[in-house]
Amino acid sequence: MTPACMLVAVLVSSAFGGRAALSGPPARGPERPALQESDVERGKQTFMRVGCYQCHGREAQGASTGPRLGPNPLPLAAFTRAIRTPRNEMPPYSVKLLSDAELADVHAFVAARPRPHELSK
Amino acid sequence: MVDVVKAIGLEYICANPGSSFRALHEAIVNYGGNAKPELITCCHEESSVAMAHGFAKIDGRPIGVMAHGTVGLQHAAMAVYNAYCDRVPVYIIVGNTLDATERRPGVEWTHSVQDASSLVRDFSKWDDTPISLEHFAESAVRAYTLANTPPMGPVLLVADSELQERPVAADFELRIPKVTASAPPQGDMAAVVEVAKLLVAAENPVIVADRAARTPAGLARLIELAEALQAAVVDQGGRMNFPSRHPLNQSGQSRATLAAADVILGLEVNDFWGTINTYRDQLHRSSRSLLKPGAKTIAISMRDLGVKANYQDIQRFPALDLTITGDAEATLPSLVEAVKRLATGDRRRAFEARGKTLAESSSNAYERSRAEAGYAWDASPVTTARLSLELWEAIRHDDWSLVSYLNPVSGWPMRLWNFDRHYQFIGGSGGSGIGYTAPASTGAALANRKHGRLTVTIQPDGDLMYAPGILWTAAHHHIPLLMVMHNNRAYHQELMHLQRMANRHNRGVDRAHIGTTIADPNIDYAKVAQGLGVHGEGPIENPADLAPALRRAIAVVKRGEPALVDVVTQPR
Repeated sequence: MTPACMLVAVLVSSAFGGRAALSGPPARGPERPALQESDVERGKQTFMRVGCYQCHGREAQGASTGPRLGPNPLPLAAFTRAIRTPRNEMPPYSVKLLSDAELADVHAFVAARPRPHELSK
Repeated sequence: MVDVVKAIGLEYICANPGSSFRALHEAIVNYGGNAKPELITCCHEESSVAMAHGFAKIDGRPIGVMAHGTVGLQHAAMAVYNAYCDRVPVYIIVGNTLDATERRPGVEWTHSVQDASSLVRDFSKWDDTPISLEHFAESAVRAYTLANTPPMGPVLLVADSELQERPVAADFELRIPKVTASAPPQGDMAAVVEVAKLLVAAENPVIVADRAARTPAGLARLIELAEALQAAVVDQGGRMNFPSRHPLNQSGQSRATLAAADVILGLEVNDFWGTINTYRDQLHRSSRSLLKPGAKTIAISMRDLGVKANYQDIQRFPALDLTITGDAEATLPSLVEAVKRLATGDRRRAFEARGKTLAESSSNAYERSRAEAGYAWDASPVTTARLSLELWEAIRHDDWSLVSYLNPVSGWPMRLWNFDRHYQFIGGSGGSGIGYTAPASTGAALANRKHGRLTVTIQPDGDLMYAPGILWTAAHHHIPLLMVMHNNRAYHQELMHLQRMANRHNRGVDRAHIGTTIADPNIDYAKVAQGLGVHGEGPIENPADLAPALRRAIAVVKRGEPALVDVVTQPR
């Protein structure tokens, strides 16, 4: 029930418009690195506990309050920088609030998100 | 007084009953036959005013509200502020007993006041306290005219209880002035021509519209201007200004569009400074201009004629290059004509090339939105994207009208649905006073009823809980409204604010839910609706259950009754 981890500020005037991408098109095929199930599960729990879902959605799918994070997040180093020292309105997460290990688990969780449903025309 | 109200043409009067207007109430339902105006029973004065607010944005004309001059108006005050900020006419009659020697002992004293309207004078357009019936008739017509003249706003007329109840002489003949519409002022013609020159010469002109299209004609004129220039349009959603799928609509990429602009024309833009600057809400607050060097900024607006000092809805001073005080919708025909006259063949060829680029950008944005909507499609709680698309699929073949503000659901309907008629969207509350959506949607549905439109609202849970009795009003008066709950079980905006504060202070967010969530127990909105006489579905947590529930609810609405579908949703 606790919030947190908002990577980008409340929308200004356009939903999802004009912000730096924190994820790209979904990863495809065998080049996707294998993820440890335990990391993903711990990451999910942390994602919920520190409230990332409040702005990015429970599946990290993104909203007007924070961009989509998965299933192809930024590399871990850039992901970490964005969370520790955000350039936008995202609340900063210090090591006290979110350890490096926990942050890596969150990264594993968002990387493991399913590909999108393809909408019929 | 009823003759006056009928002469003005108020179709409905929303009221929670009160003794200070008991005589007027009785006369409306008996002498007036409870028709034009018809009494709408509300369970809270805030609901009465918000209903009138929503009605006026669909119908274009105000309806009435009656309230005690004291406790009723105190309840109504928040909704009056919303209507004031949103530039919407609402016609409020407040009861009061001015003559202290005529007051009944006890509660009539506590319900009387020296100057009833003073409570809301800072955020209403005009008020009067008539002391004779002639005075009442003249001020009633004046109030109606002023409410409807841009910049529109709520007006108040105090109906003194003695004036209401005192017998009228048999030979008394009341003269009621005729009601004439006031033509809204156009912008200065020489300035309009200067604007046209700047727009025609610009490489990347952008039109920003907020509360621009007051009527269907405003929508048509804005399309005409944009197409004449092949200019980008950013619709900020104060009204239904521009078709959502028009190839020139660049609202989905507003920031990049504005950053590339060399001329920006704002039409009834409420916050021009916020439009052309970014703002960072961090420990050290900072802002940055979005504009490229040399970009010209122009406003056409009635804003400066509706300014008062105390309440700060005026927004930050934007320091524009040219400001035209005039009604944007009324000014558009002259501007369109000037643009067409000034556009040479060379410029038209440049416009055409620009239009093709913008059309491609618009099409790409739509495809991106569709792709994004597919993420977490099967998630529970239901994503706001799926909620929006399931709802669209359910109503798209009907004559629909979506009457809720869209920020709480990440703006998905405006990104994915095809809005192209003026009544299909009415903007937001104006003052961001929570508790607006449910009653305003009910008022909008009342206005849509005579047209047979399917009125739909995406209803935030926190907003409904301010005054849920509006559901009973909808049931009692057979107001067909499909209310789809965006039930994220929180005052989510505030929860995010708590989150920011907690992390800035390096304390963590573990306790940010305290005072911001609406859980434990979870509210069963279907049961709330059923208890108030409204068809209720849900709570729906499995997205696969949503489409069938919507179909059942829409069948109820098409029979002329309200229905609620409770959807447990993702936060935004």
